Amino acid sequence: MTARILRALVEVHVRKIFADRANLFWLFGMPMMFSILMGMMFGAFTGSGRLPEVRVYDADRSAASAGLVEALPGGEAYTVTVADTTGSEDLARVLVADGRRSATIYIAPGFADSLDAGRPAPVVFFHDDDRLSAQSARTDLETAILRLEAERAGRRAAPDAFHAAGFDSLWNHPRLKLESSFLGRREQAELKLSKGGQHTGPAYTLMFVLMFMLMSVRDVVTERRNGTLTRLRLGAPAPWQLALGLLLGPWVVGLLQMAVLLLLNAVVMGIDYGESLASLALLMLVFTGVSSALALVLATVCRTPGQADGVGMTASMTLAPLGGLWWPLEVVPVFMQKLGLALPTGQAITVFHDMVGRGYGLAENAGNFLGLGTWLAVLLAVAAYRFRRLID
Amino acid sequence: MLRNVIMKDLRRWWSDRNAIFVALLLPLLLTAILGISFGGFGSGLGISAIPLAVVGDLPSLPRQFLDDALREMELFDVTWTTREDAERRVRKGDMRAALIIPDDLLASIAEGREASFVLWKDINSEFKAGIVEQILERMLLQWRAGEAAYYGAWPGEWYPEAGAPDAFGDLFAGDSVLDVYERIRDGSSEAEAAWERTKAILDRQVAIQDAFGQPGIDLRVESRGGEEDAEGATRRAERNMFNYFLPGMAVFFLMFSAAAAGADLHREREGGTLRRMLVSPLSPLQLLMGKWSFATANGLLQLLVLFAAGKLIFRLNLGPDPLALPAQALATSAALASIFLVLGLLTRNEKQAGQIGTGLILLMAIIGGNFMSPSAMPAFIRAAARFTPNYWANQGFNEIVGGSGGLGAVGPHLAVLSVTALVFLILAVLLLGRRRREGGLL
Repeated sequence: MTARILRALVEVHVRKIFADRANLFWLFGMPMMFSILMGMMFGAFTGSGRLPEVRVYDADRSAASAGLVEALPGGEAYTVTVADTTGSEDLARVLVADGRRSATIYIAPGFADSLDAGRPAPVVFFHDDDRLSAQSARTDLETAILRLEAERAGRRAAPDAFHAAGFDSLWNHPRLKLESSFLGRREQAELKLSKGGQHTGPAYTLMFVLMFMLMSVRDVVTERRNGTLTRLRLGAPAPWQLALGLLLGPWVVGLLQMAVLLLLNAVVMGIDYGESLASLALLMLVFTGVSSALALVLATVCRTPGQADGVGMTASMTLAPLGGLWWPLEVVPVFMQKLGLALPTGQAITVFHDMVGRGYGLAENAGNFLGLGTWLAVLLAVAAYRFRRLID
Repeated sequence: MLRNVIMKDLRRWWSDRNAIFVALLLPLLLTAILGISFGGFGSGLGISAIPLAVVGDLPSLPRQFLDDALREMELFDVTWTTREDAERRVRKGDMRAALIIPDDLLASIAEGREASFVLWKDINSEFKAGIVEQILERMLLQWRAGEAAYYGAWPGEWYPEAGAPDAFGDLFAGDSVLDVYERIRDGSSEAEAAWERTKAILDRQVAIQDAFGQPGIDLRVESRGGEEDAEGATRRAERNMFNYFLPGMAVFFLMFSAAAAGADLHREREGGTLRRMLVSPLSPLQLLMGKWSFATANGLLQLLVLFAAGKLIFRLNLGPDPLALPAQALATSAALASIFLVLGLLTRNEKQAGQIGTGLILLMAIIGGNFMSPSAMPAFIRAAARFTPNYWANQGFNEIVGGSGGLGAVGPHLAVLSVTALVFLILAVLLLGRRRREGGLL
């Protein structure tokens, strides 16, 4: 009897959701769009395959200025183009201010003469400090200038005996080096958070699952106002059965949504969720459960559908950034990190990060699963208590 | 008559506590979260000290020197530990990075051999581990420049040939400066020779340092906002982060209000009030203008209340020109009111208008820079952003609030938003005529 009622309630909810084609867009289309677009931004992906250009206006046109430009390597982050015209400082500034170039360099006339005369030779670097390519170009320009300064310092210290070949050899093959690597599941930089949506894929999946679940708060409130909940109560032997049915419906839809989104993320963005399928399955189960229980609690608190929309939206829009779904928690102050890790969104995204980056399984993720389990238990208890008071 | 329509809608809107909550409190709440997360009232980026493990068997003097240098930056929380412990803690995420100092570092430096520092980074801490890497690379670059200059200047006074005796002997052995001093004071001829050599090296170091003190190139760095970098870091640290987040959140939630106002036609139609209004002397065109005026006035009010609250709560900068902010708010509200009125007339019912409207808002919010500055986005998104009204709204508000620009600074933004408002309003009038002809208005 109970199983039949529960199955009927779940079936009605699932049918209702999938009967509306617009819901499919909200379930799958919008989250994927967010994942991909935010992944592009987070990972400094250029999209068109072309690297950002750093434009150089060399108004001096001397061997010294050309040497400085040649020392800019470009590479993976940007390309260097020397303009045919000498340009002007204002033009270089405007190109960056208008967003047409991430960085420009203006070498003023008299650069070589100043160097020869021992006067500081002017170079201006305009940049958009939000752009990764500009930051790389700045580092490279400063390195090129440091090399020039080092050579000049050597020549000044020993004017008659400077050994240029020795200087070049030591500059090009420094004795002290830094070898850096990521320590992760496979020691691969491909698994770092900014690559291929490793953060944005799981993060926006969690956010939209939560958001969609909290949108169902309105349905329960509407049913209550229309009296259909009272009628359903007459058909169910106990209030908890009805509550469970209303909990399981969104839970099942949430599970389906999460499974499809994670699959799409894996296919489209090549996200590798690690080796622990059990962890992934448990995470999906517990997070959708927490979201569904939270929706049920909110449904017992809200009096009107409008109120339900407002509360649901507020809850999802605050739990997402606080829990680190909009940006990794490591960039926020410690107290905000602690707050984030105490929230279900923070615990869930940490499990994802640890599965993807560190290859954690059930045992290593136990702490966060315990946290999510506690949230689930507390929310279920509150939902049961509130629902019973509401129905009886 | 028109005034009655506007006032009725305004009264209805502002008496709905839920609408006020979403339109006013939610943007303020999100601004607070974003602002506190990224430094609040000018405390820089709000980044906490980076846990850094250091592994190395250095004598106490250089170890102390390195430890002091790392701690003085106030960026790192340094822990000296073993290699195994460092690896375990980085893999677990307790340490963001571990610096492994080569075992024979001092000997390598003295003998001119190559030596490699190893940096292990936490895979889930790209940002903080990246800061560690950048700082270490910069330190090594300085070393490289000094060493290359020294070698270029005195190639003959370089490291001893392979197999030659160490010119410093055991002069620097021991753990304190006092030991070194005593060895020089009471020393043997070897100690005397080692000290003479040390003095010669130090003299050359001073000469190199003096030579570096006369910069050959005057590099001026100017960021997009026009800050000179000599003062830029200080100014960035003094930034009120709420200035950057509130405009974006205000425009984001204004779009929801404008969408709700646009869908109001469906609500009135489904509730039967539209039919009643159309049998009054009010013409459909007047009704449309009434709805547009309501949405514009409502948006203007919402923005002004939000900015005023921002001034009180977050010490928001409202710019030097008292006209700039209201003008930008009016143009933004008018443009969004027109766009969502068109959407209301293109859709069949409130649900459809709501769903399409929300999708459109989220898409425009990402592209137009309500969540992240468009300048940080790929080129094709930056190009697309210029076709969204919220981009011009965000940029204009940022000019006023973030850049302290006046009416002149937001002139282009006002022009784009005003033209958008006009074009979409004309489109709404045309659509209204079509719907009336097709009998779809009621």
